[in-house]
Amino acid sequence: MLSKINSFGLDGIKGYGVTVEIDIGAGLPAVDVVGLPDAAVKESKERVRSAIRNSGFMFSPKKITVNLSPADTKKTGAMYDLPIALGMLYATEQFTCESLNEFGILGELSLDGRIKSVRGILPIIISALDLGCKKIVIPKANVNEASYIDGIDVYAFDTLREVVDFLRDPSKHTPYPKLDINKFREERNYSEDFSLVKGQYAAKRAMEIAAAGGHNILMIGPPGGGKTMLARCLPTILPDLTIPEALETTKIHSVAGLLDDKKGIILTRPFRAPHHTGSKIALTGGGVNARPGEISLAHNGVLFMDELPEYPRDTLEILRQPLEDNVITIARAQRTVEYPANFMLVASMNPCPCGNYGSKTHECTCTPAQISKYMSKLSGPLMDRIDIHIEVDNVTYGDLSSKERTETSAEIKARVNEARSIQLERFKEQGIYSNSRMNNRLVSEYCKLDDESERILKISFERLGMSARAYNRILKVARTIADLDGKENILPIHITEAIGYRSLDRRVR
Amino acid sequence: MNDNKLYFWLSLCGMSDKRLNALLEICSPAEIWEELPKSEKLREFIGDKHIDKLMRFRYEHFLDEELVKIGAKGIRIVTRADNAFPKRLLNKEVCPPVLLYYKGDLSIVDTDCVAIVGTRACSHYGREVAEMLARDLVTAGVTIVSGLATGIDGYAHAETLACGGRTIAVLGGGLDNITPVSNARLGEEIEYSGLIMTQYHPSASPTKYTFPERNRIISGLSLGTVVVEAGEKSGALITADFALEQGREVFAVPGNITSSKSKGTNRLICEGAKPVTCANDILEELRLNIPKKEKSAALSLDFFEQKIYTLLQDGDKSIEELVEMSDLRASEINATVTGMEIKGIIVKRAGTYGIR
Repeated sequence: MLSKINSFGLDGIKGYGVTVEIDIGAGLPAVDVVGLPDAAVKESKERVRSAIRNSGFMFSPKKITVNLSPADTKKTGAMYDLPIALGMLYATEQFTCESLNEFGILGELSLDGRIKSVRGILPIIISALDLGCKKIVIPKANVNEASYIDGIDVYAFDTLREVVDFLRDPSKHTPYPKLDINKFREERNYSEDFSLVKGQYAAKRAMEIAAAGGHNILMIGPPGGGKTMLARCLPTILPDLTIPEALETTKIHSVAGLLDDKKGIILTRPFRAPHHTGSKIALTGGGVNARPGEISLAHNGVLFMDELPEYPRDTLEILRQPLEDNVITIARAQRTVEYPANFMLVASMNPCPCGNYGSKTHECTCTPAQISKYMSKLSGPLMDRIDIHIEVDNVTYGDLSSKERTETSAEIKARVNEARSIQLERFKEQGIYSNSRMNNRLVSEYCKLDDESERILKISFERLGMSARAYNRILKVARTIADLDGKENILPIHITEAIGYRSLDRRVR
Repeated sequence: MNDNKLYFWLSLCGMSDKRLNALLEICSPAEIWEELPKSEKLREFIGDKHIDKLMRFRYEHFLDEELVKIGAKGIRIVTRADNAFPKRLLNKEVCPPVLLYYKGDLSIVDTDCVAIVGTRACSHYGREVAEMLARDLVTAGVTIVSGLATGIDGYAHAETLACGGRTIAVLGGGLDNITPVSNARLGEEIEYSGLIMTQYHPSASPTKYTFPERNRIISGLSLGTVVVEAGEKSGALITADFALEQGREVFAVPGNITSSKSKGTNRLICEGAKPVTCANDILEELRLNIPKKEKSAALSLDFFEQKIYTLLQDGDKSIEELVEMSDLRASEINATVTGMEIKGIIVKRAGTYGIR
């Protein structure tokens, strides 16, 4: 007897259809899995055997062949346990179901017949919808992340037995109710708040601009100046995630298996802070069974790299392509996967090896050769991709003890949200969400300068010896500053402020 | 046989300049050439080791061949017999070499020269001062002399070139291989727009004895020597000693008394060197023309700029301080100071802004 069950596989953050075919025939009792299974899939026959027996069914003592079609792509993970088990039960006629081919089925089985959660449910559901699948059976633990997508009926169960009972008469069950994303939006309580950061007015302003436009930012300053504190406060002023952004980010976290099952969706911008001892693969993603790396997990959020020059040079250089293209393409012998990596890079560094160059309170003991060696760890192409450089000096005791009220994160966030909504409106046709992602064509369209601004920019390039590569960066930042100001056009004051955030370009001389 | 060739011959024998000069006081180069094989007195004065060499090279066609080889490398020679030989070196106190190998424009040696020297392992302060002095001296039309070493020397040369000034690099080794290698490119640039010279044969490599010797040429070429930064045992202090012996002015840049890199310069000041706080201190002492500061047209400042300008008149301030002391917002301050910087009203110095 032959049976066919529809299931799905994961390729990067996209799902694709997999048909699980089971044939039971005469021969010595054995189970063969074909169709390029990896170790986890091969082992599924042992889990399936026990799960079937422990759920009160019979495991057929015949020659069983399992084919995962298409046969030429590698199948990974344990999500084929459930379709294989159901296929065997159907092939041995232990249940019947006329509409079996309408369902997409996936789930991992434990030996006692319970169904366990799998990675990548959200991207699979989205792809299933595209493939024309209208009903899907998934593990109950994954139900939340599956319930935000309209147009597909989701059925979720805890045990193999329940699934079989359901399939015997699907019409008796109603699909799982859909959830409203906005219901899960909540005021998150952060332990940090910008009102706790005393002084650092210029740095806070730069943070606000960076958050509003999604600009990459580099903080330079002596140790103890509060760079890390500022970075930790950044999530408190990041604009709210839009629904498409939330789904994109959730997809990646779903594939990585990092999703909180209770919520099933990510509604705050991720903040990832990988340590500088991490490997390149940890940052970019990859590995034998490709998984998204830190830069993809930071998609639509923040990638914070503390002490930037401490990262190995080659680790930093691999950031260049994703910073430009906002995706990372990982090519391996087996296959090539693409993960979105539209993150905002927030980096911090000391101005010199001893950390005190430019400090008012401490003397720098470094030689110029040491300083240039330290700075040369950051290549020009990488620095070019950072829009805002800001110098963060130590705060004085007077600042720390000041009783003066400083702005709270909520006040700043309100302005950021307003500026971001202007950008969303502007780019609604373009598929981008912020000024920092404008390409050259959009820059020339939306960053028109008046004569006075043009003149200032020209003089500043001559006077301050800036590199031509900084040109577009300045325009984008100026656009964001104008948005924060609520101005339709970029004014000279916006341009000069944007130029002020290019301090590293100037020091080259 | 002309004198140039004779001086070249004498330079090959390896005698110290001091002895060679003493020899040349008692007889002329032509006499030495003629008398060498016969005069016992001369042989005694010169010593066997050097006699051997002098005799071995005493063939005119050999000397001609050598000179052609050197000329083919683009290296030129100026000897004492030549009018173009640096006049300031001819001073007896300098103990001049008989000839100099050079590349570049020799005519600049007789302009107003000031040496800027200092330690190789300089601090950032040292670099800033070296560059500032070089810049301002160039503006006053002064030629900057130094030794092409890493550290202060290199920064002084590089800044001079960047400002379009004249600079002379005096090396402690031959011109075939410019040392240190890290400054070889800077050396090439100086060949084209300045002068690079040495008393050593092109193939000679520098030794620890040649550097002090070349230091006397650095100080000898210059009206005055500025020591920017020097530790207790810096070679720059040797240059300063030579300058004193040669009757030239010695200047030293004061530094923190706790900084090891300013120990040497601070001691020089104690011993009577003139402290330098700006290029005008040097120009005044050397009685050189101080360029008139072109009176900038009355600044036209807008409301924000005027506020910041007034605050900066009391001294350099960081953006944080400006925010606190004015009632402007950080965004306004940032935009305004950058604008003023572009206009050239104020400058940024490592984290703070100040009036130009």
